[in-house]
Amino acid sequence: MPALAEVVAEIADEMRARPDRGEVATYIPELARADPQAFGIAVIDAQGQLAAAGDSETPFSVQSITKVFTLTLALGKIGDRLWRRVGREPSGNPFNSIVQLELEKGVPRNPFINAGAIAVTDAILSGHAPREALGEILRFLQFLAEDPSIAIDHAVAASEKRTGFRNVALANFMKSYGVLDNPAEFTLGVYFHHCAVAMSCRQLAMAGRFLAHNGRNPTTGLAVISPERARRINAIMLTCGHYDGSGEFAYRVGLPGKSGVGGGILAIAPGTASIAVWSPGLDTAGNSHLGRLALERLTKRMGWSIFGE
Amino acid sequence: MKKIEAIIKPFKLDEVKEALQDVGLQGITVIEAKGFGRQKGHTELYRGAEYVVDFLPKVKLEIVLSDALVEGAVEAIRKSAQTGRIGDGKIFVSTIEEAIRIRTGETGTDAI
Repeated sequence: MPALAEVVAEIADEMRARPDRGEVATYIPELARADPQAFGIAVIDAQGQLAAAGDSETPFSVQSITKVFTLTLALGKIGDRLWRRVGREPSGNPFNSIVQLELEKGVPRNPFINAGAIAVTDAILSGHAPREALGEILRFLQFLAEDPSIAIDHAVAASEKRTGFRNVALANFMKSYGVLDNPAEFTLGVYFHHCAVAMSCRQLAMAGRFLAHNGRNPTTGLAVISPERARRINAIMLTCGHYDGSGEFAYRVGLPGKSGVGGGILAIAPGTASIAVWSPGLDTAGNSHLGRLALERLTKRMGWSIFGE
Repeated sequence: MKKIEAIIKPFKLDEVKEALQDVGLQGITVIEAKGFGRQKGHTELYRGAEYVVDFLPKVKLEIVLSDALVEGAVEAIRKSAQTGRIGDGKIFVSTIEEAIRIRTGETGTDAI
């Protein structure tokens, strides 16, 4: 097997040179400021070794990738009762679709489309003030990444709040069906802010380690969640993590993964590595174009696809 | 009889609940709480900004149980709630003088 650090460096070189970079998201105005030339990758293996290249230390807006971590928090808080208010089937629709929500009586298809993530956020918020729930989410990310410097990008949060009309519609629609316990504006406030967390590829790969190692922090050996729950979150990442591009991601990359419109992807090679890539240009399904391509190269060369070499 | 009060991180609740069921405990009382200890609860939400959170969400568990079950229950909570970081919480054990089941009037360990 080739040396991981060399493979990662070669992938970063190739991605830096490619002319096809996708389109930077513009529906959240602050995200449109991202540099389409940026590319970063960080891989942390089971021994804790970091292989990183490109803009791996540059913080970017993780956006929907936080949905993996809010799902982890909500399942830890209320267990399988969460599945009464959100499903776990792929949607086959765009991340912000309202059509499916109406057909299914306000119960979102899975926790990674926007409606599902808002319902998950509502579960975390219950019993607490919005800013305290937000503090819990941020502390959880800092704990997983072992980095207290992780923070929310205020400008992105404000931009999302100012322009998140569809999310407001989704939340109010779910509220009308009784899926949300808290006032929709409180749940949305927490949702907009946790999507606006900024992290680097290295911080994100660190935060994802427990999913690659049966729910445990591989450094301390202590459990973050049970092995069963880690396995199930990985399963949902594989089937739903890239919205209506999830099938293509599984076909080409072959790993559980979660994308964000900021251009990041967190991918998990179970038992082997936690991987974060970032390139702001998106494909037509709203997933990082070069990020997906880089992961395809990585899994092919390292033989990491969960479906075989 | 003893009472166990445990303050834990909310995301550990389901795991702790399962661990307590595994050692034979059926009923627990769960209270949403907030607080801070040595970690001071001080979380800076935005980098370099003044906007901070001074309390963190916590969950308080209360369990009244027979003396024989205390050791197993404490160990179950400690193991399942531990992340190794500041803020994992505390477990308190105290003595209960009497318990009465309101519906039947049973007392002592029969009532728990």
